[in-house]
Amino acid sequence: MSTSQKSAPAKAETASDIALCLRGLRSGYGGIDVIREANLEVRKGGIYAILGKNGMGKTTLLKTIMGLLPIRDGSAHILGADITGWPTYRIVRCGVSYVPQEQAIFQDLNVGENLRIALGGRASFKERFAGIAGLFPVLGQRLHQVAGTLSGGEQKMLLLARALLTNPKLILIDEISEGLQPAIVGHAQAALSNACRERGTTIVLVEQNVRFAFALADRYAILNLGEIIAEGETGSDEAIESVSRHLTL
Amino acid sequence: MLTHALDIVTSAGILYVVALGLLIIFGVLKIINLAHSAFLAIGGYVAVVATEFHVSLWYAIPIALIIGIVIGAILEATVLRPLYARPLDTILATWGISIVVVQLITLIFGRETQFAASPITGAISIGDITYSEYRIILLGLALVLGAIMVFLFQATELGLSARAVIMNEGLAQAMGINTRFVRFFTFCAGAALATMAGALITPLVSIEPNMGLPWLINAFMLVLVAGSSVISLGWATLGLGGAQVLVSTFINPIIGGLTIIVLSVLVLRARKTL
Repeated sequence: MSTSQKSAPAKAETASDIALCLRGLRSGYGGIDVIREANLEVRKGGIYAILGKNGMGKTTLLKTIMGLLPIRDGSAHILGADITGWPTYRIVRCGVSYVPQEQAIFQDLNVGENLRIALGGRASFKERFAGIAGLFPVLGQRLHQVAGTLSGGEQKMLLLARALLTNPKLILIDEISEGLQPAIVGHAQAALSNACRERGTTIVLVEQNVRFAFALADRYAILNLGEIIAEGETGSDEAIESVSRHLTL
Repeated sequence: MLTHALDIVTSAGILYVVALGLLIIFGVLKIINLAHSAFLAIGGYVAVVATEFHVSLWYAIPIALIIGIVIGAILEATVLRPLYARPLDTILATWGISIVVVQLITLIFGRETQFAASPITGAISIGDITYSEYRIILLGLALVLGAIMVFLFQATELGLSARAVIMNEGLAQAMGINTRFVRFFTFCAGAALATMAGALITPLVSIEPNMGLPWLINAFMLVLVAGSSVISLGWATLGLGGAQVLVSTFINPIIGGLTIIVLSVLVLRARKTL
């Protein structure tokens, strides 16, 4: 079930080129499977957008990859390791950052604590923060402010800063652009493309905002009722046409 | 006057020591550990055995602490861990543990009341009154324990992880925190604090298999009022424990025994309507 833009099987693609690979993934809540037979391959170093309307299973897919929901069937590989059944903290510690859409910060902790918690004492906060402070000038001045008192846009910046702080190899981001002012969306875009370019970080975006997703991503997939129904490169006109057809159905 | 003030602060200190283990388990694991009373009793009987062997209570206290860690570790791994997805069932499970422990104690030591030798029997003069030295020492210990707890929670990596688990366990996992370990560690610490508290209060109470029960009920109410903060627990014990002392002294000790429970219910009721 793929559209015409699906790229021909890549030449001599080896497992070491793949950052994230899902095979026949199935998961859900209670008696309902939200994700059914999801297959996906994300190459290292790129930005990959997973698009879909509300209720298609985007958030569930990310939660399943992160081990926050059990995998019912199929398998997930991250950076060559079979992470099926791993507890979340082990997945995180092999170089994955996850940016949830809801309840994503500790409201009662200050900005510095919210950032430090992602490091878990495994690296020097000062050193790591210095490496990203330039991308997030506001946060540097507000390390002692309680995170819950930040504006919506500032909270999203905090999420991105926290995700980058650990120098991850793979970042999974759940609808970061939702409800953001255009200026902040531009800022988020700049921070993410910088991470991909400068550090070779692989980024998987789950989005409804096609414009934001296509401005960043080099490949996309469409998630419909828990299945990947289309996949391709973002550059072409057909891609935009295909996406708008699927998302407006 | 000074005597009443000392009664209030020392009673608050004793309540603080007794309730602390229950509070940290409630905060991090979100379960009410009804085995807390049995852990207190275990600590009490460690003091009894120490007395039999003519060992000072000062040595019994660290022994009780270690026994608490071991018992906590075994129970967390075998009984509680499989039940974390079903928090209500943990109430039944911990109550069950409590019954088993109390029966085992009865089997070994019998039902009758026992006594443990106090390491200090003297009184000290403060101003123009004399006051139980042991109660003053307990107050000091409560303050030190409180300070250690605040330090652990506010200034250490593990404390930050524990606060993260208290606030949002799913997000804590997504931040790379091994929440299973945090739960295990906290339950061991909470059990150890309970057994230690049980040994500490032995000079002040009579020791019998159900000795922990009245303490459990008061500690439970205090924890519900204080939430998951070790600092709020200090204020709650001072306020409600203080009220208990005043009612017991000036009205009636029986009504005094109900003070914490009744006031806690009123506080919780008022908070809900806010």
